[in-house]
Amino acid sequence: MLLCLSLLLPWSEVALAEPDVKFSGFGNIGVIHNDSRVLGFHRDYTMEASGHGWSANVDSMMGLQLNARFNNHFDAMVQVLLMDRVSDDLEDALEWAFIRYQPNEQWSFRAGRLGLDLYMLSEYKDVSYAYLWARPVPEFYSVISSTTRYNGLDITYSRHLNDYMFEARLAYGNNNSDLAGADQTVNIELDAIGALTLSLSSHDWLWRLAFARSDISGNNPEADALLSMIESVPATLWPAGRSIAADIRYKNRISEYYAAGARYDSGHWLIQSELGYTDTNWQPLQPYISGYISIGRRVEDFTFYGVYAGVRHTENTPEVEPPLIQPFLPPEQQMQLSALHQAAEHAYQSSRQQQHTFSAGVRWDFAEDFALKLQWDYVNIGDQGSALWVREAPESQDQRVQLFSINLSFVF
Amino acid sequence: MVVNAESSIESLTHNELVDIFMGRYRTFPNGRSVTVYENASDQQVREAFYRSLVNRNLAQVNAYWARLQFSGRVRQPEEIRNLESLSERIGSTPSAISFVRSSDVTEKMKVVHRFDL
Repeated sequence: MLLCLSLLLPWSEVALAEPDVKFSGFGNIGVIHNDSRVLGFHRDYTMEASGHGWSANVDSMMGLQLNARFNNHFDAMVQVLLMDRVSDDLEDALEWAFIRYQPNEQWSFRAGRLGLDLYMLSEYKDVSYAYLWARPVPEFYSVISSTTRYNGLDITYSRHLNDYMFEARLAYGNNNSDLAGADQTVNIELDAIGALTLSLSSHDWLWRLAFARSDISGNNPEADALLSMIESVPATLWPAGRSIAADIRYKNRISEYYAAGARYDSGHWLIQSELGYTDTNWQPLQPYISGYISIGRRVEDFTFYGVYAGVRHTENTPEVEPPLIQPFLPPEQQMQLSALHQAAEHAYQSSRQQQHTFSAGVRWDFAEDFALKLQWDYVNIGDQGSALWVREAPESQDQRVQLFSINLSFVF
Repeated sequence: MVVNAESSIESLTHNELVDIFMGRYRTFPNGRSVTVYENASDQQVREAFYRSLVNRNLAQVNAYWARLQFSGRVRQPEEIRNLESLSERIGSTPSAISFVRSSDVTEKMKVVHRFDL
C-alpha cells in the first residue's frame, strides 16, 4: 500500500534528507467484570466479546508507533494496535499507516490507512491514557467506531478565526472489516465512503459537526443460507417472501451518519457531549439516534466523572408478513415455513439497539504517563434491543447488566 | 521563554506561545519553522510553565499530547533532561524554542517572553 502511494508523490523531495524517526507507544491493562450470564460485552464489533465473570480481554491492548519526518513538508506514520480482535488477519492490526504532505500551515494531505474523523475520540479511541473513561461510551461509539478505519485519502484545511482554530476535513476511501455481530460474525464492506468534518476549537472549547455516507455490503454465510431458503418458497405459499428476502439482503445499501459534539474543559470541569444519527436503506438496521453527556471534576490528581448515555431506534420494526396458511400442506412443511418466518422476523430485529447506561468512575493520574481508572456501568436494555452485545442465543435477553472495570493506562 | 540567540524573533505573545507549545502551529508567526524542546531537567519549572501557559497540570498536558501524538497529528516535542544539553541544542538549532528559569538563561539563548511564576 505505502509502496504504491509513494509512486504518486514527488519522491525525490522526500528522499532529500535522512528521515528523523521516532518510536513511541501506548497501552492499557484492564480487567472487567460482566454480571450477565447471556450477554457478552465488547468495546466495539471488531473485538471478541467477554461473557459472565472477569475478563482481561475487553480493554487490554497495546499500540506501537513509528513516526518519520523526511523534511518540513513530508512525514509518515505507522501504528500497530494489538488487541483481542475478531479478525486474525495481521493487516487488521495496522491502525494507521500514512504519508502526509503539508505544504504550509493551512493545508494537509494524507494517503494510506486512516481513521474517519466522525466523532470526538476518532483519532485516539484506543489510547486510553488520552481520555477520561474506561473506554469510549458504547451507546455512541460501538457501532460507528467499528467501521471508521479506512484506506484512502483526506485533505485538511485549518486556520485561525479570532481566538478559535477552524478545521475542515474531507475524506474518501473504503474499508472492509470482520465484525462480531450480536448473533453471528459478519464481514462488512464500505465502498466510496465520503466524510466531511468541521470543527472549531479554542482554549477551553471544542465544537464539531460531521457527516458521512457510504455504500455498504455485508457478507455472512448464515444470512445467505436464510435468504436462499426464503427465496425457494413458492410465491403461492408466501407472497411476500421475495420482497422480504430483498429487504434482508445486505448488498449495495447506502448508509448515512450525522454527528455533533461539544467539549468544555476548564481545567477543573470537563464536560463533553455528542449526538449521532444513523440512517440506512437496509431494512434490518432501522434508523437510530445515540448520544451521551459526561461531566468530570478534577481535584488535584483525581478526576471524578459521571456519564449518561443512550441509544434508540427512531422507527418501529416493520411487520414481517407471514406465509399463507395452507391446510393441505403436511404439518412438517408448515413447521418449516413458520420457522422461516420466525428467522426472517429475527433478522429484522437482530440489529436493534435500545439501551441506556449510567456510569460513574474516577481517573487517578498517579505518576507521569500513568493513570489508573475505575468505572462502574449500570446498563438498562430494552426489549429486543441488545444488539450492542454478543448474545449467547438469539433470544437471550437481560434487562439490566452491571459492568465494573479497572484499567491501568500508560504511554511511552 | 528562550529561542536561539541568532533568531530573528524578538518577542512572542502568550497566544503565539500557546499555538507553538500546544502543537497547533509548526512555525513562528513570521513563517519560519520552529523546533520545540521540552525542558525536562526541572519538573518544578515545567509544572509552573504549563500552569501559566494553559492553566493545566502536567498530567492534563500529557493526556492532551497523547491525543495529538497517537493520532499522528503532531509529534510531541523532544524532551531534554539536562540543562547543559538544552543550552547546547538551543545554540545549535536556529529554529529552537524552550523555557528555562531566568537564572538558567545562557548566552546561546535570547529571551522572547517572561512569565512571572
